[in-house]
Parts: sequence; C-alpha cells; structure tokens
Amino acid sequence: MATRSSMPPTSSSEQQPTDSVDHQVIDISNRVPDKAIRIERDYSQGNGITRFSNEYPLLLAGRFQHTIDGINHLLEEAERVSWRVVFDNVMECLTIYTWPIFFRTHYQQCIQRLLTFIHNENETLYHQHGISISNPIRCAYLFLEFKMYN
Amino acid sequence: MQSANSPSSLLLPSPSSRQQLQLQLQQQRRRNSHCESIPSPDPRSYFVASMHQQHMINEESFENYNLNHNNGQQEHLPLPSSPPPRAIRVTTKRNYQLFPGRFLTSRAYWAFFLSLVVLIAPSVLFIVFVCPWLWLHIHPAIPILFAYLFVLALASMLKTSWTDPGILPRNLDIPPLSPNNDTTSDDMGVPYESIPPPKDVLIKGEMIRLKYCDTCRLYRPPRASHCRQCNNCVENEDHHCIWLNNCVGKRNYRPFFIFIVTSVTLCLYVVAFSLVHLIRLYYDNNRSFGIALSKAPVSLLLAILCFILVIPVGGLTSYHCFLVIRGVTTHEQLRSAVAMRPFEHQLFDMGNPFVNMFHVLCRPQPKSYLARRKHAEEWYELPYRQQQQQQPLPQQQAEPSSKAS
Repeated sequence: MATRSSMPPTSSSEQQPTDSVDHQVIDISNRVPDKAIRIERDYSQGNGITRFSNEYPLLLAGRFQHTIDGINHLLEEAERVSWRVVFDNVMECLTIYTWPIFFRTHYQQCIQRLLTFIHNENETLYHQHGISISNPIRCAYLFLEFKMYN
Repeated sequence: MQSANSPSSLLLPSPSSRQQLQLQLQQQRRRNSHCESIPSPDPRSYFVASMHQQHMINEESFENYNLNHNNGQQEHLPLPSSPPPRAIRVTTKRNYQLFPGRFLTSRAYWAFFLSLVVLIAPSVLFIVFVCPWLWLHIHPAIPILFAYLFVLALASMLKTSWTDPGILPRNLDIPPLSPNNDTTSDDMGVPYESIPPPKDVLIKGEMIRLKYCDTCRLYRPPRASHCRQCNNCVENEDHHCIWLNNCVGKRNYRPFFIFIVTSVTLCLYVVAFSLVHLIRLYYDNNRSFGIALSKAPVSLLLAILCFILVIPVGGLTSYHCFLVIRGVTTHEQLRSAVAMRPFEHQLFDMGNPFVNMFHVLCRPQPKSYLARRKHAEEWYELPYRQQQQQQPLPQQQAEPSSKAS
C-alpha cells in the first residue's frame, strides 16, 4: 500500500528504556516495507473462485510457489459450492440466521485455516529473510502482497 | 481523468502560497463534499419501489458509470484524530454504523423506516384481528406458520440492510506521483498524479480491461460496481436499494432474496386467509355480506391492502428469479441492453440455469473486507503526501513501493 503509513500510533510494541531513551520494538507486520511484490489474482477459470496467479517475477525463488499453491488450494476448498455449503446455508435460513451462532460454517473454518497457514509460513519461512505476506482479506483478494524489508 | 477542479490532484508548491491554496482547497472541498452529501437529489428515486423504478435508478447510475471513471469526484477522508477512529469511520463518509463496527448501513434512513412500517403494520393487524379466529376455527398451525414467516422476513430485511454488501477497501492501487517537469504539471507547475496504466485480465480466454475507480483508487475487479449513493465500490453489486437503505451485493444477496420471497409469501398468505375469514363469515351468517363485513372489517382492509402490495413486490421477486436463473446482477442485465463492450457476465455464466441458481444462492458468504472493529491506520491526504516526499519526517518514511507483478 503506497503511502499509507503502516505504523498505527498504538502499535504493539515493547518498551526497553535504555539510558533514558525509549526504544520501541515494532512487530514486523507493522513495519513500513521497502518494496512490495504483488501477485495478482487469476480470473482465467471464470468460475468465481478466488485464486492467485502462478506466474511471478524471477525475483522470487521456488518456495513462493509452494506457498501460493497452498493458498490457492485452501481458497478453492473454501469457496467451492459443495453440499456442505448448501446445508449450511439452508439451515441458516430455516433457523432464522441463528445457526451460524452455534455452528461454524465450512467457509469460516477454511478461512481460519488459510490465515493459520499464512501465519505459519510467515513465521517459519519468510520473516527470517525479511519478507512478510500480507493478509489477503484486507486487500479484498485482489492481490497477494509480499512485503520486503531490508 | 485529472479534472482541474479535483483538489487532491493539486500539490502545493511553496509554503507561503501553500496556506492560501490550502484554504481555497478546503473551501472547495467543503463545497464539493456538501454537494455530494445531499442524498440522491434525483426526485425519481423517491417513488414507490417497483421494477420500473429500479430501472430508472440504474439507468441514471449507468449513464454516470462511464463518466465516473474519468471524473471521479474525490471523497476526501477526514484526518483521523487521536485515538484513531474505527476503520469504518475513515473509509466511507456515506455509511453509518450502529453499535460501531457491527452493523453498516447507508444514508437516507427514512425509506428504511417506511418499509419497516409497511412490513410490520399489516402483519400485526393480521395477527391481532384474524389469527385468533383462524386458530379457533380452522387450524392452529396457520397462525404459527404466519408468525414464522413474519419473523424470517423481518430478520432477512434487517440482515440485508445492516450487512456490508462487499465493499472494497480503498486506496489499494494509488498511482505514484509523476516527476515534476513541464509535461506533467498544470499551469502552476504542480505535478499531477500519473495516470494509472490500463490493466487487462484474462478470463476464460478473453482479455477484459479492468476499470480504475478514481474515488476508491483501485482497479475494480470484474463484476464489481461503484455505487453512487454509498460512494463505494461493491463486489458483484446488484443494485442500491433505498428501501433497505443499503447496497445489495455479493454478501447480502441471499438474505435479500429470502426477504423478497418471504414478503410475497406473506402477502399472499394474508390475502388468502383474510378472504377465507370473510367467506366463512359470509356463509355462516346466511349469506349476508353486510353482517360478515361488520364482524370483520379489518379482514377486508387487509385483503385489499396486501393485494395491492403483491403487485410491486411480486414483480420484483419474479425479476430477481429471472436474474438468478441467468446468473447475472441487475446492473449487468440492464447494461447488456445497451451493448457497449464484451459482456463480462457472460464469461461467468455456468451454462446450466439450475447451476447458475445454485451458485448465486448457495455460495458461501465471504468475510467483510473492511476490518470494521479494528482501528484505522494513519492515512494522510495528497497535499500531505507531497510534504512527506519532500521532507521525510522521522515517523513516516515515504516508501515508494514498487509494484513488480
């Protein structure tokens, strides 16, 4: 995101007072990136299911392919109209919208898994190289942003 | 695309004239935002909701659809004061939120109250005057079923009205500022924002050009539409319903459909059982219409009123059934009548009408893209961007994020 300052005034920070100077440690997801690489959304299948493009610039190495494939797989599982989804919707309608209060829908579970997956990939792989994957929901699934901090 | 009146595209050259210009810009902005804040000045939008009325509203928005892209009147975001406001306040000036972050609706709520009254009043009259008789004389299941349908209709109405229809978050594709030279600045030597390059996507083998929305500053995905009343881009926007005071888009289409179907069912139910009431009284009282009427005047009133209501609501329902079977939204259906470019929606058509219906009505509801309950990030308007880039303050680093995709 071009000029939005990614540092909210009340960021999660730890204060380490050293020599009467307060240092703020800012979490990597809140830092301002130097560069951001966007993987655009792939509409070629035309069935309304969200997926991200498999073509990426040569700057990125091979591990990105695995991440993007994982994300695409989870999104397809979430958005495919299966009988489970139909059942969820019908029950929600019949119980006057009280069903989702008690039972998590299939879509919510899949999205939770997606967010966990991205978080894990970030923690295990990308943060140590100074890269962070942004939350695709906040970008309305229009692109996947790899922010580079160096 | 860069209209000279658009204040945010002007950047301020020097400190002394900057303040004067800023004052002028602020005045102009206030004037512009004042004009924009008048809800739907078009008197046509105040008519009774019918198919024709929707047609008029959508025609108006369609005429401006192509213009909007070029002369986007920019809605300026207020500077967040500390503590940072909830994200929903900053993103849209035209939407109201109740219980901040949980519900989201639009302006002009008088129409919403009117439609609430139109739903509740005949139902309450029916329950009070006709249902006791039905319970005792016909069958107790009838009032129970009516009550269930009524609650479902009311809940669907509130859900449609208060759910985020799929608003796209703003400022995802801000074009970088062009360098300050003669060819790309206006008379005062102030540089423009560079024109965002056109973007094409491949859908099932066809190249479709994505439109860039100036107000929301993003490339609108296929099938998304910008709503003038809400001043937002909405995904798969069907139409803006003033009676529900909200756009109907991807996320709330299903409750909308349920609402109109249950409304029609309720109307027909009331008509049928009011007539049953009257006819039974007519036969029980030696075929005397006068006595039957005197015993149950409300039934006749209800029957006539609901019969009149069935016509617009039934028309709307059948129109939407037709749209669902075709798998298109209202905007797309109306625009395809005035053919101007390859039809995006045809590329998304599944072929089989039942499959279309299945997909439109049963697809899962995505999460809202606006994190309404979280706090907004800091966002500074364009005049301050220039400041940022010229004098990088210690807190904000002007980051030229280069897109390479």
